[in-house]
Amino acid sequence: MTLLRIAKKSLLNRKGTTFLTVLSVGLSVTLLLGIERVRTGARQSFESTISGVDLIAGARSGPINLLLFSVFRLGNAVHNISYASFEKLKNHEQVEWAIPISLGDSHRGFRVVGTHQDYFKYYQFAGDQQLTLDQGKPFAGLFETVLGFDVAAKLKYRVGDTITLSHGMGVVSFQDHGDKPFTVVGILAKTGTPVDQSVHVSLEAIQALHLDWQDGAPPLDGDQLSPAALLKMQLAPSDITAFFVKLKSRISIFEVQREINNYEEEALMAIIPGVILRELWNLVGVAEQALWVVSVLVFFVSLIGVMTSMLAALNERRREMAILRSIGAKKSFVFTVLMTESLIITLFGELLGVSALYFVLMVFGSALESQVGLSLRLFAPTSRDVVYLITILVASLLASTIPAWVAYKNSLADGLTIKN
Amino acid sequence: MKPRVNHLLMCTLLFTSSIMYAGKHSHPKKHHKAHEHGVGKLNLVSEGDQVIVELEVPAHDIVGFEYQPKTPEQQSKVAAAMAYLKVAKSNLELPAAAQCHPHKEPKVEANLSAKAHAEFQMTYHFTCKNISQLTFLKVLGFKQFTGMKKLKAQALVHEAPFVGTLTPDTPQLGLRK
Repeated sequence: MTLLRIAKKSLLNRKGTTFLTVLSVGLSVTLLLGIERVRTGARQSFESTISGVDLIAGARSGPINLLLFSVFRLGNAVHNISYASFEKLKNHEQVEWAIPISLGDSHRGFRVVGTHQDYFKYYQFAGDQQLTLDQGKPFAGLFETVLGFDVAAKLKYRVGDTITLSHGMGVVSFQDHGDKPFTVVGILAKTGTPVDQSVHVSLEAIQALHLDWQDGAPPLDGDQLSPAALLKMQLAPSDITAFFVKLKSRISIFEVQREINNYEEEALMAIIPGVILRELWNLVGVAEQALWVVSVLVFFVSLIGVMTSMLAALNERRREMAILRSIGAKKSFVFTVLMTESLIITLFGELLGVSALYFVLMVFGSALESQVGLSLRLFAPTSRDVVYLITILVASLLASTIPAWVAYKNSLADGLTIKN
Repeated sequence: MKPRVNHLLMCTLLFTSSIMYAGKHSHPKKHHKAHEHGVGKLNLVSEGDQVIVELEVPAHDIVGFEYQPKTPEQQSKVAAAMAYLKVAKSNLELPAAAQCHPHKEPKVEANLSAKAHAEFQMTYHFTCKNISQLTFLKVLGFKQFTGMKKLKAQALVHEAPFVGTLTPDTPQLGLRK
């Protein structure tokens, strides 16, 4: 008890330095655990973006490119593929279902996905979670749209509103499909995946939007087809960007993949999303390791900080130590006092660090999730976190043996002799 | 008049050439597969107790040439390679605990008569009594064929994807979840 009281009083006596040391330990703890959270969170949200899909097929380009535009809505397809090829492969004996998607248009910076109603039935994410509608119903008519959660939340849309789609990407577009407005009929529940940032319409709608366009340019005044005229037309999609495939049996996956890759009539390519996600993650993993190295370095710097502040304080505490010794305290007691102080500093530092981390997660967690799509949920410290905390504690105690040893070695007379 | 004729000629030429160009490229039927010496592919997939392992290795890496064998020596080399690859257990090693047994004659093909590059393609079928113990796959062929330097491996087993690069020094793909 005396030991704790002395340590506490001595620390309080040097509030400024103690506070700064606790702060530096705390910051390094926040950084180390925070990076760990970002790492696992990123991996989880990354790998749970799409599930229940065996193959993704598109025009032959790079596997990562195909994954990025079809799943993450990043970048663009090199080519489209013909709807006839899709229909042929959809009827392949091994295929259970196939969902086409058609990309290229946008609505105020959000991607428009032309697809089939089956998309809402079969698309899965995070294991076996299905898309659910927060409000409304799936699109059925030509000029109807279902919005992703974030699109509706950010642009404050409700079921019944009308929106205009734009040609190409970008928040500001100079080529609007203003003559053909869409009605919002449904809004999807939040998924934490790029689906939240998508505007879904039917394949026929994408076709309808561009039917009166010629050579990639909007129609001249007077040449436009009116929505009423389009509704009467029999619209058949001519091409799509990619399609998702679910097989009847997974065992045939490489066989079907090879068949698509060697498809005679068109240069197609099929990827296994799980495999490419893993490969992509391994690629990104280098940056993740670099982050980890930085946080370990920060931790070492803070360890040296703890050591330095204790060593520096020793000089001003020569008298304190000498008084302790003169009233009968043993050399080992002085050693233990210093170790206890370091224990207190580290424990408070860890407490501060963990609280700061949870505070940051609580305040910015949901913002990060909606902005970057990174899921950083609040959960109890993992066993890995505990291992980190214990390692930090042990390392910091080891580091303080040096100042404690110096104090132990100093003679009784050292602090009592008056020096100038 | 003359410049006008030239103009017309130009237009005609451009027009026909563009048609010819379109005609040549609108139906791409000649696809050329990428081929890299020393790099093969390995696929593994499981469902229930069924496991299929596929390998595709450039012929050059196995027999040292990629054409129809000409000399008796080359012929016996191909025959020996085929004989080796046809026995699943001589080419692949799976953990004993998984109790995997080949349940079908392995399929081994080599398209050595092809004009371009040639590959050895193998398909092995296994039935594993204890699939949860399928924790690795080792390719023994690296020891047999010194030309084999690299296999890009992908596996779908235990409801998860596994990817890796196998080499003579690391001929094993871990399949632990």
